[in-house]
Amino acid sequence: MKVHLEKRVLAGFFITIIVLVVLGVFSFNSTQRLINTARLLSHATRVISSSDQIMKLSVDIETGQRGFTITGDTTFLEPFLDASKVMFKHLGILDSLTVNDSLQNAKVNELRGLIVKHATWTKHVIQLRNEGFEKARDLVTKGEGKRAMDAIRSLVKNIQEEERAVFRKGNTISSQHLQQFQYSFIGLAIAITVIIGYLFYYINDNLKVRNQADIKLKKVADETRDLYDNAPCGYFSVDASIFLTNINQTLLTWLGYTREEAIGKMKYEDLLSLESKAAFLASFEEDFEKYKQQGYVSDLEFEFRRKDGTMFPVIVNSAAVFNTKGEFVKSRSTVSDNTERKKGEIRIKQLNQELDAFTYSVSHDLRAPLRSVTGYAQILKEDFGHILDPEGHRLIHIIMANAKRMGQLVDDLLDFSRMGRKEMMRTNVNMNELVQDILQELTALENGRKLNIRVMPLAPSKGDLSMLRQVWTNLISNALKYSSKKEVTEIEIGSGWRDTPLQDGQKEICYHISDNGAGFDMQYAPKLFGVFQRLHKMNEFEGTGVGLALVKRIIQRHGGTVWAEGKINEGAKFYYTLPQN
Amino acid sequence: MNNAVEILLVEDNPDDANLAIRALKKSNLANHLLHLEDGEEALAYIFDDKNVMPRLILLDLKMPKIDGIEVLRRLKSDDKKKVIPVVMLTSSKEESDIVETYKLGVNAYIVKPVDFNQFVKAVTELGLFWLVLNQPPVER
Repeated sequence: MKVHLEKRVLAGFFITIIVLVVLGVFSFNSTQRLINTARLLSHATRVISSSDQIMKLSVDIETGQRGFTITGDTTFLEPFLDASKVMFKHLGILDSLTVNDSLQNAKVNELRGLIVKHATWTKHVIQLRNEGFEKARDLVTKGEGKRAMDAIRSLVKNIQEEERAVFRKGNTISSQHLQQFQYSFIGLAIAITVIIGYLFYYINDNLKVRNQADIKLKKVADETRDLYDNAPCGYFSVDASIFLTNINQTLLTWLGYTREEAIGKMKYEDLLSLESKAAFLASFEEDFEKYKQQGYVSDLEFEFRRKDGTMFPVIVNSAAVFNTKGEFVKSRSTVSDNTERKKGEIRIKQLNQELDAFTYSVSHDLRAPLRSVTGYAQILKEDFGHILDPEGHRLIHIIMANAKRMGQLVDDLLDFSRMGRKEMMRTNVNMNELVQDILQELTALENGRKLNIRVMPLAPSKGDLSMLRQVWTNLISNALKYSSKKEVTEIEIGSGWRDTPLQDGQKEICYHISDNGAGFDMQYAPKLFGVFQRLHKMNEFEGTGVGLALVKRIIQRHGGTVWAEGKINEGAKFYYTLPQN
Repeated sequence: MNNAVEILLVEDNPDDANLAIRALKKSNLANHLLHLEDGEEALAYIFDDKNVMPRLILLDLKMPKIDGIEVLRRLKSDDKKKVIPVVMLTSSKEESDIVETYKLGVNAYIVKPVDFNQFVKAVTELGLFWLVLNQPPVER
């Protein structure tokens, strides 16, 4: 049995029990004493009454003898004869009553002797009276009979007094005890009353507090229940065998089931559409194991099936609950209606498809006419060059150059648009190898230039290799391009760790590349990364203005930032960061 | 050398086709060239006669009626005709197209450069490669 009582209450009960036991012992003792006293009294009464009887018989014997002696009539002898018959029976009774009291018993024996002596004397008197009155009178007047009677009377009185004294003594002790018992009883009864009163007050007080706490708890429980049931999202829990153990009203309303229909009767998979159910069950064992290891699972997309058979898309987030032994006990999940988002996703998909169709068409249809423009201009030059003057040749050249440039613009724009949609494949990228590789490729094209390129050890990073290749290619080729008019090109590439702004404790890698080229005016820095934005004229440096826009797009997709510092004619420095979470 | 067609050019845009032909002519590769204007015509020509075995097919991707991918699929699923080298010659650089045509068994995929000189260079090189350098599987 588990005891829920507080120590104080327990102590109270304990003390009460002890007091009751003490009271019990006292009562028993006192009762015992009373019984003893009563026995004593009864004994004394019987001894007194028995000795009285013996006294009376002795008197009868004396009376019989006297009557006969005076009258000589034998009828007077009747009391003597009657008493003599029963005298020894009564002496036996008295003897047995005093058998436990040796002093009194000795007196009874003495009494027996006296009575025998008196009886012998009486018989002698009766005998002499039969011979003649004078003989009997002479014997009586000697006083022997009177002395015997006096001794008997005195001894009987002594026995009786002794018996009374013993009773009185016992009675006195007994009433003292009784009084003590009464006082103690009253004292203990008061003690019990006080303790029980205190216990009552204390328990009552506790119950009052508990009651108030219960009311408060119920209020909180009601509020929690309301929050659970009427939350704007679905909640449900399942046990280790995936049966529903709890579900909130919101989700029930969405599904069209009642609580009774769902709890303990439906499994999680019964909430799913056929398609979702098949997918869920197909990899259930594996997924469930993973879930139990990880302890949670986020943003799972399912399709729920209502009772009426209609479907709606949902997002489910779950957290596992384990017992103290680390065994999986249950799972709690939230469900949000994904209908609107799904609609949005479908719309985005449509838009993306439209965009794909558009870029495909641009890619194909726009380039074909451009090719015709350059192609036929070339034919014009080849077949009719001999009849054209220099101005004619110059115009043909302009046509071809512009068509070519437009081809480049179309290509760059397509690259840019594709980069936004391309799927990212994050791997560990060895930046040292990547940069060396690109440098080799790009510097091979720069014949006769004095290049001083310093590459510091670069931190490896997580990211999409082909995209990061594009970033470094664009940045390095820019550095080479804008420093091409310097006598000696100075390029430095490096990296370092730094704290991520706005996110405490997170580190990110910051890469940089600087050159001593044409630089730029810092007031136009924000324009650097816009599509088709250029800070230099075509005849200064070639380009379409897509390269840095592409860099920015890639870095943003990696969650990083990119920025630049520059000074006209002194060079530019580009930075970009890659978060490493 | 007989008069059998050596290069079959399937291209719906006549201007593009003329440029390609001109480029091939420059390298003297266009003597036995047949130009067809869409996929339907191409399939009809190839499958009408089982002996028609051009040494090279230059195939545009985007064409009316039957497109280049479909022509390629039909060619490469025919036991006899699948040995004919097919080069996609197209304006589009869509990755999905490149992947799909290679899966179907295309022999090369050339994106036509906008610059005519580069175009001439590309066409000449591929003509030389497939007609002169490459060893066809069946001795003719």
